[in-house]
Amino acid sequence: MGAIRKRVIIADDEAHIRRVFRDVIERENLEVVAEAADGEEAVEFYRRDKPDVLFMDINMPHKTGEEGLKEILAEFPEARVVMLTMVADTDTVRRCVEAGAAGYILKSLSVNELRDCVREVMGVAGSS
Amino acid sequence: MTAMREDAVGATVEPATGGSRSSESTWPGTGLAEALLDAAPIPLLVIDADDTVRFANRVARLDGGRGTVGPRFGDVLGCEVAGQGCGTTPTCAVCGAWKAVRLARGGDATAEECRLRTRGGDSISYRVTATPVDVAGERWLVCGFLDVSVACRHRILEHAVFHDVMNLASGVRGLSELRATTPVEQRGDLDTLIESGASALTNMIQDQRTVVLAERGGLELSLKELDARALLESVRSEFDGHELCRQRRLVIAGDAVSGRFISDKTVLSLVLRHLVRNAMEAAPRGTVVTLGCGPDGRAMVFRVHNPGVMSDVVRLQLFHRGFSTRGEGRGIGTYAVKLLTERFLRGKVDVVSEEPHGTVFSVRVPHAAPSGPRGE
Repeated sequence: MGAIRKRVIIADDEAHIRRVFRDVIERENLEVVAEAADGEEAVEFYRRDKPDVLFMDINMPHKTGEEGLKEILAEFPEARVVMLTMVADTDTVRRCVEAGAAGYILKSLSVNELRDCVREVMGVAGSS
Repeated sequence: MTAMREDAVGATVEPATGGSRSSESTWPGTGLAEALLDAAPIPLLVIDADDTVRFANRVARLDGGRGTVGPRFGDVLGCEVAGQGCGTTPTCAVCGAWKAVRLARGGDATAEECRLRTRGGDSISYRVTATPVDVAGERWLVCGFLDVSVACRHRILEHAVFHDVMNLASGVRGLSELRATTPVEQRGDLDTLIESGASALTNMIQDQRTVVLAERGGLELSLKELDARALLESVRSEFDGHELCRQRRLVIAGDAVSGRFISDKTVLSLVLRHLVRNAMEAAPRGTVVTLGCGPDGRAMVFRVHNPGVMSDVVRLQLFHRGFSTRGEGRGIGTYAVKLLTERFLRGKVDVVSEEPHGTVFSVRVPHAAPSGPRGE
């Protein structure tokens, strides 16, 4: 019997960023169950799909990543949410981590660096 | 260093209406106190317990006299709503300068940012400090007005470049890296995304450049005859497949009327695109953003409607540079819309936002060609 793939949701208002993360994640034999384009969708899709990890952009329309993070953690305290950001040294990133985000990833990283971050987050040893 | 605007002060500025006045309050500071205030490189105003200006330093005084004594600071700064009574209008409730003054009345020096529009149409960002001082047994506030418009502009531009452009550029770069390890027969949609991303990047940078040129007064228009409905359709089609259309629809009203007029297609398209983007981001999920156009006398009017209603706090600060409902430093959208439309296209931008009708932005441009920037 094959191993059950870990399930992921990607939330970012930039389609190109979502595609990069989708490809990197799927190449690690992980399953992208949904893509959200704003904070409202991110919360809605999390409730519906309850993924193993949510990768969520901080800066999104309709509901920010910070707002979405707090809403998800209030309802699902065990949720693993990794924030996506262009800049690491902001008050927003710090607040998200203090609020319970599992960490953050810089979107400006190379594909190889993103792959390493995803592996670390998902606890995978390498592509299978 | 910035002196007060020429239309803001004069030898015979009338006291503002509204509110009580302590007609007996006279700023007692003389000699050293006034010399120190006069030596400051920024405008300083001393206000009494009734918020009346009782002393203006050298930089604040354009005519060298004490003509600025008596009004409120909005009158001295030339604020566009001061004529209705500085401190008494709904706009004053969200004014950074008034916030600094109210907080300083509690006893501690404060600093707030104030985005002000003058009667002449200039948009100025001030860092306002309010410091309580006790002189001759009376409490005064020394208010400083540091013009930070340039810094504000840079902050917005930095955000646009360092965040928005980098965000998209990172995506394009990532897709290019992935393409290199993707089998040739599977590269089709990657190529499409890379091309669309590069195109969007170019447009984003060009839009920012247009706004920067406009702010410097160096924007040159390229005028030609346009068709209103065709222009609207062109803007609408830019949003085909756009992220913002995932949960909302963008349509052209059935009663949109075409018509010929002369204007700059690039600038007007930029204006309409910004309004559409804002409308799509403000519209509740599952709703429709509607575009309309039609002649109105000697003008062509474009309308962007969304069912959402903005709060008074948002509406009162809407066209100020630096204000945004999307986060610190992001706010070039509606400010640029007003700048480009009114100063360069010689048009007018208005907004109405109320229940149950929603929000409508109207852009009115003259039929005839604009002859150059207004007010330059």
